Amino acid sequence: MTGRIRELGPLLRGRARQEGLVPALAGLHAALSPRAPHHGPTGFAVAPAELADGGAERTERLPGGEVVVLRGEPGAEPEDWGEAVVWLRLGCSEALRETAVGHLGERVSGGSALLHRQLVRAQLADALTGQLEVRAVLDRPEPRTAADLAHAHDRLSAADRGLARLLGASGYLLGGPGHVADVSALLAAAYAHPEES
Amino acid sequence: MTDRWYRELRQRFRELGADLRPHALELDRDPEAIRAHFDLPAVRYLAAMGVPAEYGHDPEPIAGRPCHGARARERVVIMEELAAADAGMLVAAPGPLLAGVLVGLVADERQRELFYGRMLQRPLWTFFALTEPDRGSDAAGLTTSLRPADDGGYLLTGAKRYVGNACRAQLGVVFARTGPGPLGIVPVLLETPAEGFTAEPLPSIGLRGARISAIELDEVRVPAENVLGRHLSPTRRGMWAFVQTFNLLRPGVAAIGVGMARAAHEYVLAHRRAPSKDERRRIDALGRRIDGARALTERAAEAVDARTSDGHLASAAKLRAGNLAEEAALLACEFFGPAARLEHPLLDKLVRDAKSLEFIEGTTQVQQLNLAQGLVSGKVDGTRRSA
Ligand SMILES: Cc1cc2nc3c(=O)[nH]c(=O)nc-3n(C[C@H](O)[C@H](O)[C@H](O)COP(=O)(O)OP(=O)(O)OC[C@H]3O[C@@H](n4cnc5c(N)ncnc54)[C@H](O)[C@@H]3O)c2cc1C
Repeated sequence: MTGRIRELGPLLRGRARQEGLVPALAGLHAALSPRAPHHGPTGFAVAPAELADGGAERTERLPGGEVVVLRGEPGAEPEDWGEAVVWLRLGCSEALRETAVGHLGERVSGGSALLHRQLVRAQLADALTGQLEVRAVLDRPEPRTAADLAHAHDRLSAADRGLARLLGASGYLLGGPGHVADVSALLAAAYAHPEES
Repeated sequence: MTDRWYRELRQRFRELGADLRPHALELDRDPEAIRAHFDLPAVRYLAAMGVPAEYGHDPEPIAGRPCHGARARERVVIMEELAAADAGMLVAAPGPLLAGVLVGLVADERQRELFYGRMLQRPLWTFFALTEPDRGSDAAGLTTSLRPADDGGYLLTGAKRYVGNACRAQLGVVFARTGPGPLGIVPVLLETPAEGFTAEPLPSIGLRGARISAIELDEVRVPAENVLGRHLSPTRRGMWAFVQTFNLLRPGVAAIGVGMARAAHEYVLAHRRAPSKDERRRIDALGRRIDGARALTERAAEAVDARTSDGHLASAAKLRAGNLAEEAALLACEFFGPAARLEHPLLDKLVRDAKSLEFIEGTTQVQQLNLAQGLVSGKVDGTRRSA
């Protein structure tokens, strides 16, 4: 880990967790690509709408602001970008977990909170394991390869799917936590590196 | 019906489905776009699917026989084929679907005539309102109330949520409570617009054609003759009715999952040029999983057609096919690199649509509990175990 990501990573994670995906994405750009949205290896960029100059392929309205997907030429990757995106997504995923735990703690079924159901706990534990694994990968002293980061993205996407399910159909609404998770998966799509074959 | 007839049915609906696919992305952007497509033969068929022959339903014959879509075994073929074309168009189509099955189970003669008769006049949407804001999987705990009114009718008060097509429906079924416990639940037939009834669409991540809605019920008047199953004993209308309805329909939801998984598989076959040997193996493996889920779904449909209370296979099918749809969409993406969802709008839509199956007609955990209950109560293969 270079010195910069050691600080930036946890910062983005915290911001994503406490303030949400959009402010964290703005923070990521401010730190590593302040002038324009950064286009990843496949030519796509996912950025806060304010940073874009029109021409969005799609616009996602999330709590805390709009995020746009832009298509262009792959840009030169700012150092630490790939790893910073994983930190950011980890924070989003942890926020989703907190939302899910809160929701399940309040939601009563058959006389007790859903959070006390063993099948619910099993799914929570599964998602948590994925998040802990990603945290462990990010904390390792040796540098992370593109394949390590792709693996971390997969783990986070799987954790998010499991967590969004636990919100029931409320996790399937635009503008809600399931939508944030879906846009987080688009971040992985834009910034994960294609496998070398 | 013979296997050959089902093959012909499949073939026919595959042809009809081909007209749905071109509108998939349009409908994803605007769920009301379905209104421009009422003339498509598949949409016309769905508008009356399930209405029995005795009410004047006279569909075009398939291999010499009319298919009314009143049996689960027919519906699973139709739903798979149309979902493989586009699940959004399938669920956006007007028609009697869930409400129609319930009417078939518990309505009296007058109610049947009213309901089915209107289905045949012109395409209209129906809804089936069970889920409440605070009660989803725990439907037995529903709190919407049905109280006697001064005029001999009833007043309906409460809220429902995530109800498909409610914001544009003219006729629907609402489950409410007249007293405590499972025997206190009754379904009523509601015509809209009605005073005190409001339904707003809830924008969803996918399957936008379903137009899931939030309903408010503020002392909506219900004439006594619109209470469904009032000629039946309480044990045969409330909880019983919706459990049987779900048993009958769940194989159809599983079939939508099979169809969505097939759409993903077929997308890979059509667009992944020159797959490597390993990729071929993965594509074939997905095909076999789809075949397996289809076999289970067809078996589940036969079981509920024979006995509506035999729903454990339907739970197994929904569990398997619902999860497979999501996995297949994600697997399909893997063949096109990390940005697949951004580069292939149909795959992106499939990923978003497939997530909906987790919730429709009971989540993964609910099916797991149903299935385990079926096992311990001896329904699965006749060997009763102590619970
Ligand atoms: C596209 C779509 C269409 C729909 N159409 C209709 C419709 O037409 N009519 C209608 O009435 N409803 C409809 N629904 C709503 C659907 O039936 C509910 O979403 C579903 O029943 C789950 O309820 P919930 O969302 O409240 O989740 P909850 O019940 O709150 O579940 C939250 C989580 O807890 C788990 N859980 C719940 N209970 C238990 C338990 N006892 N043990 C273990 N785990 C448990 C669930 O599996 C889930 O992971 C639709 C939903 C969608 C997404």
